[in-house]
Amino acid sequence: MKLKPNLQVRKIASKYMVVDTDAAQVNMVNVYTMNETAATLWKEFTGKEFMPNDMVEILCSEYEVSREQATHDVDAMLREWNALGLLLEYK
Amino acid sequence: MYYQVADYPFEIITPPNINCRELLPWFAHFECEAPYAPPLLFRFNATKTILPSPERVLLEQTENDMGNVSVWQTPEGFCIETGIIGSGYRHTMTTRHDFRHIEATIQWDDPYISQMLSSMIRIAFSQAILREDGISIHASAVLYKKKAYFFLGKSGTGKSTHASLWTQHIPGTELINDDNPTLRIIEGKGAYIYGTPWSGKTPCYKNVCYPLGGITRLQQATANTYTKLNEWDAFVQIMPSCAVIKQNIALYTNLCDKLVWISENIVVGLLRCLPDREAAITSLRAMTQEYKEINNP
Repeated sequence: MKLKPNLQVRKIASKYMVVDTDAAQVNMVNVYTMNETAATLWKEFTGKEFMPNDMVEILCSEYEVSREQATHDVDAMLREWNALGLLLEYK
Repeated sequence: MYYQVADYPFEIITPPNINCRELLPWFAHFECEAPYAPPLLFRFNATKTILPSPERVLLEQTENDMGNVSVWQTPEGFCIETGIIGSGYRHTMTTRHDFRHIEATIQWDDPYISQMLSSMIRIAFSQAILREDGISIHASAVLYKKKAYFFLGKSGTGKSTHASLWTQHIPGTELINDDNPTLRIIEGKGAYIYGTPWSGKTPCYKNVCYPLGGITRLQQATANTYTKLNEWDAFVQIMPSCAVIKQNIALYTNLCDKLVWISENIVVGLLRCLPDREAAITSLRAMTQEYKEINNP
């Protein structure tokens, strides 16, 4: 799968966000909040083809987290991103 | 003719029989000499004949009392058409994505030609300044004690009304612009507000500059309540008032970066309000922390 293109992650105050430019209505702004870990993953996989396991690998190598927990967290996060329309070819 | 708005110089080229001063009287305070430095923000050449690109894709179409605007993506950049609905006149400009060299075909016999030309220059200006340190904001701006305050809101919310409540009830307040002031984030100095030749229905075309004191978004309500917004909400509330072709990633990225700075450095609030004196006092107090001198005029 892939992240929806042209969406940049930005830090604002203590939060991270992605601004979706693809809003159908002129006066609508879609902004999604992320924690630091999600933002790191977003940056890492921007423009790349990836599988959930690629994200799990990164989490396991950079954080003190069990593979089981990381898999669970990545799956939950990707489901949410997909529901928001932020993923292409989600499976 | 050369003009300078928000300290950005630009050039308008018209056919020899067209008198820019007559067509654009509200630009009078913004005329300038041919600048040597800094370089021109853009050159708007209205002597060209543009053929519509066959490979264009419609990006957005907006309609308001200033006319109808269509923005098309072309292989080279953008094509923008404007006209008053039902007038039968259409004006076209094309540019690359950076809005440095704009070529326009104008139907000079349009009875609304002044308004249309002004509006096209406004569109070019609003996008060109995004690659610099500026943003064109749909807002009313007032001056109070050497600082500028912005009122944002959807069309019809009462931005102009709120600005006029300030000038009526708060001594020393003055209108800077009633529709389209320019905001610049100047490195090492901070945020500044500039008057422009675009002020909606209010003839207020001041070539002035003041530091930005605060931003208030307005929402009609049955009582006056002010909420200070966190950085996150500030970003979301300011964004819809900024002029940008959202489908262009470079323009949009530039805008987002500036909005992050504003959200983190400027007092931004939401005022649910009535069109009354108390509403003006409420937003003044919230943005300036001044109480006493205006309690009992």
